[in-house]
Amino acid sequence: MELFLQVTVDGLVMGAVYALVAVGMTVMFGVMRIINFAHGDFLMIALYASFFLMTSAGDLPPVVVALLVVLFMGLVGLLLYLVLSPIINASELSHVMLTVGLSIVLQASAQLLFTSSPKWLDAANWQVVHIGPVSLEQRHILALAIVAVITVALYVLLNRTSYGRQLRAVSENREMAGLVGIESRRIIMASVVLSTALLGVAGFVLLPLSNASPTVGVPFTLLAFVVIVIGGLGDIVGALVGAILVGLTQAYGAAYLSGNWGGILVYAMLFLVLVLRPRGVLGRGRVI
Amino acid sequence: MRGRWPHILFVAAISAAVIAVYFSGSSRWIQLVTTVLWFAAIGAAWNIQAGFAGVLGLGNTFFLAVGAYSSIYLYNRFGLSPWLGMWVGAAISVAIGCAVAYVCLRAGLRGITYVFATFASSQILLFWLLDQRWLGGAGGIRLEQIDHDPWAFRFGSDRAYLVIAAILLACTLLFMASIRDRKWGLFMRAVRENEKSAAMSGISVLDIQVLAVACSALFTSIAGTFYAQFQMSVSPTALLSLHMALNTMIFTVVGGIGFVFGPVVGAFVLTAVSEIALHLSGSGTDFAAVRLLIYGACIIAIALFLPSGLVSLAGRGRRQ
Repeated sequence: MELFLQVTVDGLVMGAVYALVAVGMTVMFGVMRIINFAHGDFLMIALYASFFLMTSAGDLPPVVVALLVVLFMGLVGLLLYLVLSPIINASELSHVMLTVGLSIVLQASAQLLFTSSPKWLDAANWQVVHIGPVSLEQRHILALAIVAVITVALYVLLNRTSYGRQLRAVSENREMAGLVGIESRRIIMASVVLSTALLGVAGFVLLPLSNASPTVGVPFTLLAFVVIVIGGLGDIVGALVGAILVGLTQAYGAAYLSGNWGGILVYAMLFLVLVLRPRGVLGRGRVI
Repeated sequence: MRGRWPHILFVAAISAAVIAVYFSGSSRWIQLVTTVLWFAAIGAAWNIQAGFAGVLGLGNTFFLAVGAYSSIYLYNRFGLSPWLGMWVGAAISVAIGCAVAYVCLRAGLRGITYVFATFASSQILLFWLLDQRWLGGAGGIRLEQIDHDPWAFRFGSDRAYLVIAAILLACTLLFMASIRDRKWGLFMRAVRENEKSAAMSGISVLDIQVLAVACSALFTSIAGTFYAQFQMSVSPTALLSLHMALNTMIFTVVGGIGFVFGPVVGAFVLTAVSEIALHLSGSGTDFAAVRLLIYGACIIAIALFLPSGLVSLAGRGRRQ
């Protein structure tokens, strides 16, 4: 029972991190119908940005570092929008090719600039907190708290603001949204910026848990694929649910079977959801 | 230039290059060109399903791994020659490939969702293989050293592998060229252009799509057997990575998807560009990174400015 509780909590922590990474991908798919194969590589940029701010910029308080990283990733998002905008209406194969090309270029540039050796933050002594039988490191609690705050903020943004309503309209039907006077290009641009800015938060949260290296993003890209399909493509709440499901599946699989079985179960889930519930577990995703 | 001449010239040029490398005796060049021909072959196999039938799968590494593992396992365990073992692998690949394609396509998966489903199938195989002790687990299987034994698919010189890779590629291309304007090829292209109108004119869309995947699986699996013998080892992470899956696609799309010679053009041009870049970049630079950078830049340029691929530059702009 104690093991079960501990595994559950670990799974939830990983799920929270996956949610931060995957939500941006699903937002971008919702408004543009583009799956970003370079998504994890933008997370890699955020990890490097947080790493260099944390290590070389003196004693900036963590909140300032987080804000700077998010701001920087927002600017990166503007660049990404400029690159993607010519092919929004092109074929899916063009979308895949362009984002794959971006992914390769980003990884190669990181390798040239920072070499391929992984960069770790100095192992700070994170205190372990015991809650009943479950022990949690402080950084995990921090990650959970940040994800909770972001979730609430996203909910408010999408449901209570004019931008959120327009985003959902564009996501529902770009042409109709245009007909009722929504400038879909501006919404798309804002959504790409939102997507990478969220990766900024994810990078800041992840840095103590992960290193920064040129190919660190690839597994996250793959996990984000799984998460957003399980949640339903373009469904933001679904992505949160999917992330928790994936985090828990991995944790249970690894604890009770083996680490590789965690992988098998996660991809089997992806396959089965696609075949049986192509609109995701909540049934609200977009299918092309 | 119209008609057959551009094709004949192209084949002549590639053959001349391969023959020149064969007689050059430089083992680096022979291995490089062997690898290029091999990539062109798996690209061509992908081209059958994606280029002809419009089925965008990203799971062909599955067939590659099955072909590589079954021949190497059957040889090590039962002494069965890889020349026979590769057909066992091909049969498994075709069977599983058809089953997965049938289930996914029948469920209505198309485009990016089909990409995800097929990629998931290859990742399930990856994690399963990592757990299988009898197949070497994460370390994979190595072939023991033998100098020269053609029956065991082992040759003393690099040249033999160059010739076999060239034959493999030639068979794949000949197959494509021969079905292109015949019944099945026409059906596949009709399905690619418009599934509904293909179905209206009496084509069984699902059957044709599965048939295309089966052909693709057959050639990819045999290419997998070749890979195992050429590299003398197999490992799950080398064969089933996202990187390898994307490679089956990239060369074809850069060259020209749907064109018989697309993958060949793509593989040769991308390799040539990265070789030139390596020679131009000074010593001390990270060669692997420079090569990747050039690859990525070429892919972006093609996606933005020439979505039909390099072959479409040849003027007619018509998909074959």
